[in-house]
Amino acid sequence: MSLSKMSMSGMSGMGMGSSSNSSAATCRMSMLWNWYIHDSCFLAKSWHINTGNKFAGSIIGIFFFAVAIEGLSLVQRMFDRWIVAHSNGKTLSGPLRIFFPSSTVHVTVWQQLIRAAMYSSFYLSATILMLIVMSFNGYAILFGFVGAWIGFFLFASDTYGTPSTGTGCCESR
Amino acid sequence: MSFFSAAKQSLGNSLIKLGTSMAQNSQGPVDDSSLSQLENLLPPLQILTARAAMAAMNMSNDTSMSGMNMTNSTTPMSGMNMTNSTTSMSGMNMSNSTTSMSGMNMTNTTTTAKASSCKLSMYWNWYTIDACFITKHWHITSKHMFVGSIFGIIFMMMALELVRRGQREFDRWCVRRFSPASNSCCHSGAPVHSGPSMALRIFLHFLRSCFYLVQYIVAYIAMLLAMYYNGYVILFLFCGTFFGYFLFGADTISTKASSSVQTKTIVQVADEKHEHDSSQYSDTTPTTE
Repeated sequence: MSLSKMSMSGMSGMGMGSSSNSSAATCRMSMLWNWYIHDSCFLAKSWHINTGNKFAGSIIGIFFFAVAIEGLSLVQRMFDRWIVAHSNGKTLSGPLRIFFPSSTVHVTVWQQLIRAAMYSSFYLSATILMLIVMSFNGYAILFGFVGAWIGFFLFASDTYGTPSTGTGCCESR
Repeated sequence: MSFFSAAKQSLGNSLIKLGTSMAQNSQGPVDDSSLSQLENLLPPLQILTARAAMAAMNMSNDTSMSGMNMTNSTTPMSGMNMTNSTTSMSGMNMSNSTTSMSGMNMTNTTTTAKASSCKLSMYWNWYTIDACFITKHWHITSKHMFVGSIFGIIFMMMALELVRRGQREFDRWCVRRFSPASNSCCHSGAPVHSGPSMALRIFLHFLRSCFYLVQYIVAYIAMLLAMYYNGYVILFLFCGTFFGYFLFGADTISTKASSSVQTKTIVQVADEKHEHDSSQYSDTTPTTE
């Protein structure tokens, strides 16, 4: 095995398997903290950053993506509030009472479908943000976190009094 | 993180392969059963296999100093690269200079002797055949296997939602059972004064932490699965969450929707009687926006 190939493997790493593509530049990637700008790739090979402008755009996009995730959770809460407001104090009735506690607010199948869609979209977008952060690019991580911070600042002012996660001995949730 | 674990495992594997190949050079073939036994004990046995490799190298006549150095060096990569570079000093230096990145590579290159190898990518991909998830043993060799894995992923996410629901139900039961007459038991972190004894509370909290542990593990596995950047896997993780939440998540409205005061009201209203006067209820639903 030649020396040059060995040294190359350190850089291109996992992309090696498919690094035989015809494009001129390959994605630079590192599984350690880095500040790559040119030739950095996020998430997919097609998201390949050639220029500084493209990188700036990507970073701004990541920032707003993180903000949007917080916004989505606000939409979830608002929709739940809307359901509560429109349930007029009714709780679930019929055979569903077997599977749900008696205090469950009345919710229709469509409402619950929308809730599930929003919940899983939240999960999906959070997962994708995690995958972007996994590029270990310092800028991406920084702006992802700042986006979450700003997003929480903008959209989460209605969560006073509710614990962030369900901890505590017998919080009735 | 899954990458590091994969790198660690491939390290162990390649060390073993190194050792066995050396042994084969010197002593002839080694039976596979012992190899598979070794593979089960991978991470803790790294040093041991390194020693075995060293011993094998001592026996073989064609490898000398370089091999020895490699087994002595504690960096994981060195062992792996040795299988690629046929034990020369230059190869050794290279292996030290490479970052841990090259781990995946090595799994690709070292397993080429087998019929098929794991296809791994750190970018978005749609691999089906020869994709591997989490361990090398979860190696997709056929379409049926892939479909089965996808169903497994969906059911895992649904089960995660079920366990979350279970925890909520357990908490509710806890509140109902152990805080009589008032639903304001534990808000703002205040302990239950007239509630269960200390030992019972510790036991209940132990049960809660068991629920939490299961959620934590499953969520972690889901994250590790997502980290293979496989489009299908991510899509069906999403679908599993969707179905799970649709089936089991309807009871979370009251919590997210409302402040704690409101939740309390809903619980009381529902507990006391069902056909409560709606006007009174609507009085107690403040708009907190």
